[in-house]
Amino acid sequence: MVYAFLIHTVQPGTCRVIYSTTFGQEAIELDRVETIISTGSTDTQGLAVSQARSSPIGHELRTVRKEQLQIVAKQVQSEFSFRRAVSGRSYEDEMQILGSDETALPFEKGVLRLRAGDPFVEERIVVWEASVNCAFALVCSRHENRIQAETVLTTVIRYLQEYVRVISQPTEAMTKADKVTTILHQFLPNGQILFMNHRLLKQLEKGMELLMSGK
Amino acid sequence: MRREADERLTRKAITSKLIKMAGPSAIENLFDQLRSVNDEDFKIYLTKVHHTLESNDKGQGHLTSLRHLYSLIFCTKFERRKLPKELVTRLKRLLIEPNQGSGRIRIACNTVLCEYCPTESLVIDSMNTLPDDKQIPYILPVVNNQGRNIGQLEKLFIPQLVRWISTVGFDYEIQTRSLSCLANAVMLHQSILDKEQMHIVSSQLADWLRNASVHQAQNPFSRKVFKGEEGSLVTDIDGTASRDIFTILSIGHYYSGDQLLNIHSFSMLKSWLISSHPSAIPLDKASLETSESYSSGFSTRARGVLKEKSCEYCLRIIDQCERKPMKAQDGHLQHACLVEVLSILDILCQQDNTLIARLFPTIKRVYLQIADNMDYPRVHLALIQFFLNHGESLWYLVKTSYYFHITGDTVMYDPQQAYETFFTKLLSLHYLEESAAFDIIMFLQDNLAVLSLQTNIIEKYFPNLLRILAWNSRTFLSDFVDILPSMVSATTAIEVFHTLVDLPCMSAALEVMCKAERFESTAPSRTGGDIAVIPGSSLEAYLTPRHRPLFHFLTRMEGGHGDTIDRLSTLHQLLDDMKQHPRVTVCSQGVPVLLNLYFQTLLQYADIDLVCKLVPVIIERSGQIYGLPFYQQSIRRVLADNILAMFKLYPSLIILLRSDIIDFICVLRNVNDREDFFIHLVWLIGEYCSSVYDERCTPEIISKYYEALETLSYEISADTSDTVHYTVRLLTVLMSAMAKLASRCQDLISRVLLCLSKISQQQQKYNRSEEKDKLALISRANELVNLLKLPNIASSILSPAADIDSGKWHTDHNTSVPMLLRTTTNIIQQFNL
Repeated sequence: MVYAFLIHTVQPGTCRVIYSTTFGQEAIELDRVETIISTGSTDTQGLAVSQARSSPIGHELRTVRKEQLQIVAKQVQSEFSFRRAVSGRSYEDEMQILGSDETALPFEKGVLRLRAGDPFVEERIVVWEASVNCAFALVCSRHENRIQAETVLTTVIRYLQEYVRVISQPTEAMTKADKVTTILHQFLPNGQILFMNHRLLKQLEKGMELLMSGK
Repeated sequence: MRREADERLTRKAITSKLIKMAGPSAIENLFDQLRSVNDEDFKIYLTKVHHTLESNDKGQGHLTSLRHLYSLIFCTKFERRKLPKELVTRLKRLLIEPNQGSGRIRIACNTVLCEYCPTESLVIDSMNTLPDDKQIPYILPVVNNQGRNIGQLEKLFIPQLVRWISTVGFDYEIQTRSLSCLANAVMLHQSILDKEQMHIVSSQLADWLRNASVHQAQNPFSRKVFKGEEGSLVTDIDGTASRDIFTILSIGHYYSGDQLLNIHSFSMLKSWLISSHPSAIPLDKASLETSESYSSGFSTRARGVLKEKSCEYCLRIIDQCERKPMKAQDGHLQHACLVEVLSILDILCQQDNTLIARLFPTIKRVYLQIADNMDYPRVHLALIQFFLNHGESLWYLVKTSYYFHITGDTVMYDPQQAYETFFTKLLSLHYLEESAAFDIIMFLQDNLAVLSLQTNIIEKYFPNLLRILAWNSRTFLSDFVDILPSMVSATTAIEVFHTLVDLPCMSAALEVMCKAERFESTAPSRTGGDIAVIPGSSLEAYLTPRHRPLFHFLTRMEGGHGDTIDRLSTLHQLLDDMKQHPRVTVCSQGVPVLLNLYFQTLLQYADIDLVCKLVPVIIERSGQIYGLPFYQQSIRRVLADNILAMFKLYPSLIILLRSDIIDFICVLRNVNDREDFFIHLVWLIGEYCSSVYDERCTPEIISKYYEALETLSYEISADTSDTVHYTVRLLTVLMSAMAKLASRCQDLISRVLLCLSKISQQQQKYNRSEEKDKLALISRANELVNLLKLPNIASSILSPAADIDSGKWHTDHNTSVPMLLRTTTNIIQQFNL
């Protein structure tokens, strides 16, 4: 199962999560909440903790979720910067490819292991792909079929490009988030990695077209 | 020409526009813009949104408002923007009630609520009384995100989901969504379903797996009643007519509800089996006997049926995976499915080990089919996992003839061949693929105890495993912190040490070999080549037949050499142009951590014989480290620190390795670049060359050491060249070491006194060092001279008993170190006067 999906920036500098969704609420002990918030944040941590204490549980859990996903994003950003450094390809090179032939855009791919307790309660595996300034990551359970997770991720990215043009206009993922949700609703229902043959993919694609067109 | 220039300009304009849109600044601007909305403006905006959502326009206006609302609440992390309860209730109505707009509006609403969840202000009490079932797929994600603490997942929704799943003929869309929702809930909260609910879902899954229709469905998007293929049988993946049960690899133009449920059931089967079923007890005679009444032996029939159907389904998929797919993209799916079913069968066998004998012939068949196929490392890995998990049980089954009784097969498969193929050829072919490398590391982590205790895989193939680390240190360093101790044994210790110190070289060599492959020039192009001549680049070196074996040695698959190569310095020279490569730099940053861990492991388990073999190697390698300056420094520091720990553990090393140590310190050149390491050795001589630690330490041995140190100190203090600068620390440690030796062998005292005063004189004579250094040296020399003039005191201070740390020296009033120190200070001061 997939616990979360996120899109975030990968260029050096502040790592911004521009879309994220979780497919459930992790069973988290409330005394861990403050630990995650305080270890994850930097300048605002004092404020965060004091606010969290006086806030309802829902508020705290949301902050924890956001912080956990931020940690995932930062790790992917760091992995990506290493990959780009060893590949010798630059941001500008990728931009040029994006300008001329979008389909030839090279993607860096990878898998990461997040040990239990850091940042999630249970061990999780992150399957990610990134190009230009956008990374897409699936936070999966440790037993998830990673071959299929990679395929589903590639499929989702293909549709994200088609409907949101997410790589050339990443802000769209924030301003038209419902389109991203629609794609996930169809190809990652409630975080389930589906084994899709080419015909099923077509059938789901048609269903998505209908949803997108508002019918 | 002009046209080309125009095109170039247009391309440039497009690129700069893209940089504007896709670059970090566009995103930062958006965040700034959204975060700058103050509380007052936000409240005003919320009123507007509420107003819009209450209006009758259920089209673009709704959508725009919801999108903007989402952006405004998404952009904050700690200071959540609160939505008024009335608005949350309006959003809930929009999600739940009929005639509230298209699916797009509901999804936009769902996006906002999922981002805002979990929240106490949203209460979805039950879906029992929903006016329209069609909304359920959009509501479930919100329910899931509300979770167990805030939402009523456990009390209200789980029973509801189970009911929908078990209702025959219910809307398949809701059933598939409920299945995935349930699978997620079970994964996140293990005890959320009670036993009865578990069995209901299990039996439903078994039914959907086994009984899906084998006829093609109508086109769900067409209004025409009959068209083309519908009604005909689905085909197998190779296009032939299907003659067996429906599976995910059955191809139809469209899929009906029950077929989609079948696909969903299989997709969640593994996580369901893991979350809902306990593991089996170890195989014994009793469990074999009960297996005869297979289905009745289980506590409930539902569990047994699901196992039975799952086995059947998996075996069917294995058959389908042997067929050639009509569409190339389904080939990838076959690969994923094969890994999935092998994994499911493995889990089933773990939960019920009586299945092992029944399933093993199929597993063996799959292995024999792909044994020579090097394209599917992850399938090999799944098979190896099966062999590893059930090898012992199989051996038991064969021993008791049960295996023959069930299968009629007498030949067991020996997995050694599978292990060898995987950890040699397959690994070296696929280590570059991040996902395959990741799976291999996960496999090692998951099975670390079994692999270390029951097999020699990690020890034997450690160079090939380290190849993964050398290629991708950033990702796998922390994993190798877990794995490395399993590589170190009495037979591999020295080789592992060499390999670790040369890990950045391995990284460089792999990069060079990859580069050569990219340029399609792997064959050695140069014939001959003078061995003494270093080629211009590492790539050129790789293409030179004389140097290529060095690369092959670095990237060897198996350990067992016990040592390293003679031409190490040549190899370092050949790879000199790669030392700034990011892959090599990152790798070299991780080695000190691993090397420290290596020594920790070694010191915990190694006996004196092994350490005795290792110390000369450490001394040798301290001078042969790949030419990255910061790397050399950090490795030498690690070596120096750990050599101290080794001598502390086994002080007799100073006697056993005297010739190696003397040879090393006799060569003044060895001080260059590794003074710190050198100083540590000199200190070790002074500290441990004593009969207190080893009775074999005779005055002759002490004298030999002394002579070496004396020569060295004369050489250093007489060295007037400006090229090398020796530190005060070296001379101070040297003087102390000599004084310590003299305190144990009083015949040497006169020589030491002479030597120390000469050093003092030399320092005063030459003007090489700084004034304060010079004073420090002279003062230290004087202290030692004065101390040695009182041999009994000197021996107490310079060669205290080995149990000085035990506390006795601090508690016994008459022999305490403070008292001795006070006495000595008084004496020294008197002499100085």
